[in-house]
Amino acid sequence: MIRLEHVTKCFAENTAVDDVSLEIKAGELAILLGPSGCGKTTTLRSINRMTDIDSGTIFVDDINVLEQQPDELRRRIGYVIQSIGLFPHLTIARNVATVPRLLGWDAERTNKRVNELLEMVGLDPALYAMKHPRELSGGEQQRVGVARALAADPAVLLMDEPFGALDPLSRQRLQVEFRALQRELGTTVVFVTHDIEEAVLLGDRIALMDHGRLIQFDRPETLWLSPATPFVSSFFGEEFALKILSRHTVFGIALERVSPDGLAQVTAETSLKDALATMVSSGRDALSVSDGLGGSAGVLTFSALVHAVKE
Amino acid sequence: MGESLGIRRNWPIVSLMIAALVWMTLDQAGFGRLLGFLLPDETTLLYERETLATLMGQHLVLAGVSGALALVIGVALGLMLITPAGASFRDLVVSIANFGQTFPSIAVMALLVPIMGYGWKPVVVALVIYSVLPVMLNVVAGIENVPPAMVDAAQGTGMNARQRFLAVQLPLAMPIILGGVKNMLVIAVGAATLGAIVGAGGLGVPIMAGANQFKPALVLEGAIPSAFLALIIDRTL
Ligand SMILES: Nc1ncnc2c1ncn2[C@@H]1O[C@H](COP(=O)(O)OP(=O)(O)O)[C@@H](O)[C@H]1O
Ligand SMILES: [Mg+2]
Repeated sequence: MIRLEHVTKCFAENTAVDDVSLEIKAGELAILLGPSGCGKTTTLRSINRMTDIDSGTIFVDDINVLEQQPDELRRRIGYVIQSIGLFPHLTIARNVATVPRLLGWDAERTNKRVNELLEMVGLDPALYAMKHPRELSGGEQQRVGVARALAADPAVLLMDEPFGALDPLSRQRLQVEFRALQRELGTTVVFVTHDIEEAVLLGDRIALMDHGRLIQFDRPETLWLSPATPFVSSFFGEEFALKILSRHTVFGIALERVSPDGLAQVTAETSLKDALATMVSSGRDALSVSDGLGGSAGVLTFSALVHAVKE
Repeated sequence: MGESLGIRRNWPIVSLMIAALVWMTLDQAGFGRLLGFLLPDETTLLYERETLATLMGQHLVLAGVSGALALVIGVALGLMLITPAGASFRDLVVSIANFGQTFPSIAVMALLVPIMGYGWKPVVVALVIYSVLPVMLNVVAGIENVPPAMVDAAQGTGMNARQRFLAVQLPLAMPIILGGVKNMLVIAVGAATLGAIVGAGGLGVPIMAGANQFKPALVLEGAIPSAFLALIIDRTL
């Protein structure tokens, strides 16, 4: 879907992206992660040609982006940056309609699409369409930014720290909702962040970068269990295991058929991180898992939990 | 654009000022009585050789024509200076425009009269030279004040350079550009009184006559409407 081959970009003496090759599958949510200045933004912007690379090739849908007219390329690739990117002098509806208008859609089709998009990102069109960006909260503005990027139904979405400026609560809400929306639409997403928690929560795979180089591109579980270099483990730190736990739920883990008497209860949808926290606070190394009918489906033990994650 | 300028206009007061200006221009006798009330010792209250309406008409044409020319030239120069090619001329053009503003308008007119003769032409040239700078600088400042991230976002949606300029940069720069135009017009309306010196007429005529003949009422007859004109422009734009 998106393929980077030996992409290199220098700013004067400084090599911002150094021989990066990676392939992102259709429908995948790939994270570009790494310390500030490691080349994430430059890599992302080379895909829609906001940055011109020095050498290498980039394919989107098996088409070489360097052989396409940049403005036309960008109309087919959604691009979301922090909320500053909304046009303050235009209404929300006009902001979202930016690409449809560039593509010359008629008014009826555009309006219909705008309403559909606003609903998709959880904003009531009747309430929001005619407002201006300054009348919206940061989280609402970011929803509009996502709606604008999705307007022409792009197969690829590029996002550069889109939730970076939000307070923790609205950030988490948007992360969860965005993840569900992305799954539903099947959009291929390249998502830049420097926030490990966000990367582990959202990413199908994480491309960890350092000093312009791609260090490892794998599922978070693989990064945890088989780090390519010591930098990988030290970057993710001791709490990596806990963050991985938050990606998984109790559902699917083999339960033991013993008496659940006296154990704290969780549901199949509880994240393993929360399950672990419940074990710790209840002072027991096992939990009862509800069967959704008021009874218990079985008992989840600490060792089963640890075992499940290691797989 | 009023909302984006962040200035709330007091329309009742503006309407009152406009009504007052129309009244003093058209009701000569009434305005004369007012001047007589202000300066009870004066006998000559009004300029006799021209009606105030005629002088006002001349004044508006002088200021209007110069303002329009300064607007066109200032915007054109400003737009030139923000292009990559024009940026290298910026220091030069700004220095020249600065010089044009500091060089006394009276001197410009005096230098132009031998070439262009008496009348409105030297006045308009002098006023334009004087007024171009604020317009040009505000066009440049307005465009440059648009956050680069905004222009970047516009580019990211697939707008080309012309679309970015028309849909994003220009509208966002408009409050600052209009601020420059307003300043320019206020200045032009005041400076148009200089037209009297080279026989172009305008509200400067009674002011000059009053100054020469020590008749303060005539000075007020020109100065009061001229000040109202400037105030009205300042409050409406
Ligand atoms: N337009 C630019 N001009 C000069 N240097 C730049 C530019 N953009 C990025 N860089 C440099 O390239 C490196 C990578 O930057 P960037 O891709 O923005 O990193 P990240 O997004 O990971 O923080 C940094 O050292 C940065 O200073
Ligand atoms: Mg960055």
